[in-house]
Amino acid sequence: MLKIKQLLPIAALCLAAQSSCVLAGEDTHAGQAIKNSAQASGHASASAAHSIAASGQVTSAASAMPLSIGGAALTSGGVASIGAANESMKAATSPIGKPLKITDEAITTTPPNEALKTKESKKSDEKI
Amino acid sequence: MRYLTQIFLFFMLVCAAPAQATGFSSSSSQAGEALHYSAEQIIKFSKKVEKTMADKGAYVAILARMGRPRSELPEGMHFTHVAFAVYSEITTSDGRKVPGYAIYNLYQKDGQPDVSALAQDFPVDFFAGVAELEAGVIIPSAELQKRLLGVIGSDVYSKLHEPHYSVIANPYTLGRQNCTEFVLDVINAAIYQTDDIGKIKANEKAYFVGQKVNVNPFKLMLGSMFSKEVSTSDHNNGETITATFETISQYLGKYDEGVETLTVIPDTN
Repeated sequence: MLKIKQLLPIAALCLAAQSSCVLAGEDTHAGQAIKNSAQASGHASASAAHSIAASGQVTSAASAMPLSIGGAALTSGGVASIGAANESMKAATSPIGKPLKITDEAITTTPPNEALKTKESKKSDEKI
Repeated sequence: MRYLTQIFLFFMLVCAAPAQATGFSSSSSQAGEALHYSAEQIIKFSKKVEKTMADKGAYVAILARMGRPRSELPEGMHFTHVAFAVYSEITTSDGRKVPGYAIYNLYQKDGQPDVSALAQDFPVDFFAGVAELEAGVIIPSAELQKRLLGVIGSDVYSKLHEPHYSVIANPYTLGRQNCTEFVLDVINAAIYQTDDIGKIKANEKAYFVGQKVNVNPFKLMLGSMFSKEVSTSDHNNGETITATFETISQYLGKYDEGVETLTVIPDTN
C-alpha cells in the first residue's frame, strides 16, 4: 500500500515540473512594460517577472556580452572584440579574484513590446 | 478505499502545481508563477547576489535558486535550478553600456515541458519567482573560469544543449538533459577543452558522483505517466541518478583547486 509520505518525493518532482517550464521567448521574458503596470500587477495570472517589471524599479537590457579578462566584450564566436571605451570595459580590467564593478541598476530582460519598437516609435513616446 | 484516497491526493498535488512557485528549469515569465516576495525584496536580494560575486572577482560563477519550498524537495535536493552567471557588458534599452551579470540558463519551453531552450536573462529575472530567497553560488578557480568563459562565448556552448528535457535527467547518458546536467556538461567541456560529448560523458561517468533519486520504480513510473517532463528513458534499470547543485559543488570541490561555494541569504534588517 502506498503511503502519503512515500508519494511526496515524486509528487514534488511532478509539482516542480508542472509549475515550471515556461520560456516565453529566449530573451524577452521580463514582462509587461512599466506603462502596463496597473494591469500586470493586478492580474492573478501575471508572471513573477511581469510583476517585477511593473514595479518600475528595473532597467531593461537590450543585450549582454560576456567580458573577457582585460575588458573586451566577447563576440558570439568567443573572440574578444575591442570596441569604444565604455564603463564596462573600464570595469573589467581587473584580474579574476579582484573585486569587479557592477551597476547599481536592477537589470531585466526587455519586454517584447519594447523590443518591437522602432526608432520612430521611441521618438514619439518621448514626445508624449 | 485508502489507496484511492492516496492516489486522489497525488493527482490533487500534481494538478494544483501551476499555482505554486517557480519550479526546476522554469523561466520566471510563466503565467501563474506568482510573486512570493515583493519586487523590492527580489531586487535587493538579486543585487546582493551580484555584489557577492563581484566582490569575489568572479567572471563566471555557477548560480542556483530555490524554486520550491525545501519541504517539498526530494532528499538530497536543495536548489532547483542551476545556471551560469557571467560578468558582462550590458547594453540597456536606452543605449547605455553598464557592467553586471547576465545569467545563461537552460529553461523548459512554454507549453512543452519536455523540451528546453537556452535563454539569457538577469539576476532579477532569475530570482523573480523563487519560493525562498536563498542562492547557491559556486565560484570556480581562475583557470576554470577562463576556460568556462571560452566555452560560453563559443559555439560549443549551444552545441552541448540537448533539447529533450527530463527533470531527473541522467548525467551519465545522452538523450535527456536538465539545467543541471547542461551546466555539468559545459563545465566538463571547459575542464577537458573538448566539444566531444562522448568524451565529456565518459569523464562524468568516471569522476562525477550524481545524486540518487530516492523514489521507488512504481512511483517513478506514475510520474513519467502523468508528467511529460519526468522521463526515465535515459536511465538504466538500476538506480535513478541526477545531477544537482550540491553534487556539482562536491565534484568541483574535489577536482578544481581554489573553487569556493557560498550560500547567499537576504540581509536580516
